Amino acid sequence: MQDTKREPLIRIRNLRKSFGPLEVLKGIDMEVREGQILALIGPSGSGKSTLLRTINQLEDVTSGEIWFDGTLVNADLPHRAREKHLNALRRNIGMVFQHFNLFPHMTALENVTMAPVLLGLHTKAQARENALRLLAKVGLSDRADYYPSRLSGGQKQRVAIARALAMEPKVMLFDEVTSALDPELVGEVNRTMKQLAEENMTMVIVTHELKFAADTASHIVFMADGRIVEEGPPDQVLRNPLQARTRAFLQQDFAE
Amino acid sequence: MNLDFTVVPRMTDLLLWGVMWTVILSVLSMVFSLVLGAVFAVVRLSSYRLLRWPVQAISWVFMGTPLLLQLYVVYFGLAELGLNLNAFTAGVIALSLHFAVYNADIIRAGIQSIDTGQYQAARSLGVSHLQAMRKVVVPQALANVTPALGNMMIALLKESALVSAIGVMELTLSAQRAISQTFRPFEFYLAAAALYYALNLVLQQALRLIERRAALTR
Ligand SMILES: Nc1ncnc2c1ncn2[C@@H]1O[C@H](COP(=O)(O)OP(=O)(O)O)[C@@H](O)[C@H]1O
Ligand SMILES: [Mg+2]
Repeated sequence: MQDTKREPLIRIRNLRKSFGPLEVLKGIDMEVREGQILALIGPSGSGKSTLLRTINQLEDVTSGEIWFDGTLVNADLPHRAREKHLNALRRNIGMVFQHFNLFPHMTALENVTMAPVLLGLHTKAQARENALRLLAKVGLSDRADYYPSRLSGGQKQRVAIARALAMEPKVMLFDEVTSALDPELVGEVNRTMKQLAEENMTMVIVTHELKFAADTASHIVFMADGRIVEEGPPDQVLRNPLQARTRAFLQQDFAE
Repeated sequence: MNLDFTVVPRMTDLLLWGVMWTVILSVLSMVFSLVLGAVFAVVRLSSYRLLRWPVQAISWVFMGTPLLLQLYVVYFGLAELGLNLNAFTAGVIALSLHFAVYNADIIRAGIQSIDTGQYQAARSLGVSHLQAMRKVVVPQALANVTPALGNMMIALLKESALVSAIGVMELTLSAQRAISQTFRPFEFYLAAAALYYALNLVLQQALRLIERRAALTR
């Protein structure tokens, strides 16, 4: 099914990142192939969010390389050129955040149409039509004209997913998108992500929900202390881990 | 003491003329001071030192010196340098800049109080820094600081009286003109004060409506 000979969509090489004296990523090598559903797991503070955010350069890096679709993401450019370069890249990299970050002064529909209209991807009418289609897809047709303050957490997160999809990205990055939700709202967001996975969207999912990762992901990466400890298919990493560090993490997590 | 307010209605036309120009002068200055204030705020938060520095300098000058002197400098001082502005224009410029600097400080604090996740969410969609500021950050910041900006607008309306010093025929100068014709200072100063107060009541109502609209969406 997957053409494994093709260049991976994302390729990360010996990536290092420090916040002041604190080294958070200590040489990461990782690949994401087209259509792959990669789940990134690991203890809190291990650098998962930071790694995800370097991919679209919300976080810059100290050294190493990030390649996206044949382009060096962290190319060393003068400020203006870098901004243009990043704007072009970010259109193709959707991101969904733990705390939704919906624009509170815009309706659900306006949240979804803002970027496509600003960037000239669609006319206002096209963007609206497209946004209504996406809101329908995430099950929120009837909430298009609601402001975020009147939506539940699960609804907000689904609008945020629609907002990212409106740019027609080649990959979607999810950073613990259900961990700020009440437990009864987690399912609806997970179902939306599963639906995307079934449509062959390339996805990188940071999650602490091991069951969801096992059900959805095609590849699991386990990180600890800024390093990738172990990776492989879910059956291997989650059921028969090779590393003691992974076993300890899984045991602790299941014990909780 | 014999106060005689019956002299006031005789000067109605003159006073209404003054009210009209106070309103025009103030509303124009309000609009400019808000737009400039937002621009100054964004510039002072930007990474362009070449832009930031002049705005910082304007801010020091207009915060650190009296408005009355600023009016004199813009009107008489610039004339000496060959830039002849009429008194009304000079008044609008000085008032706008003076209040823009304060508005900028308020708006800047408002911008800094917006969760950085808002900016990052916008940038993650591929929109530029300026687009993210203009569409996402600044509108929210403005909504948050509407009450504080409203207070500045009320101050501006009252401080516009100083423009009488360079000869703009606004409410204060009309009152003085009426006094020189009738020799009734107390009556006309009180009448002018009442008119300023009435204008402020109207302004406060308008601000309340704007505040309610700003709050509605959240
Ligand atoms: N902006 C920042 N400044 C300083 N330290 C940070 C910053 N962001 C994250 N860190 C630190 O980097 C480490 C990794 O954080 P993070 O990537 O959020 O981990 P995870 O998502 O796996 O919980 C933590 O020790 C965290 O405190
Ligand atoms: Mg995290």
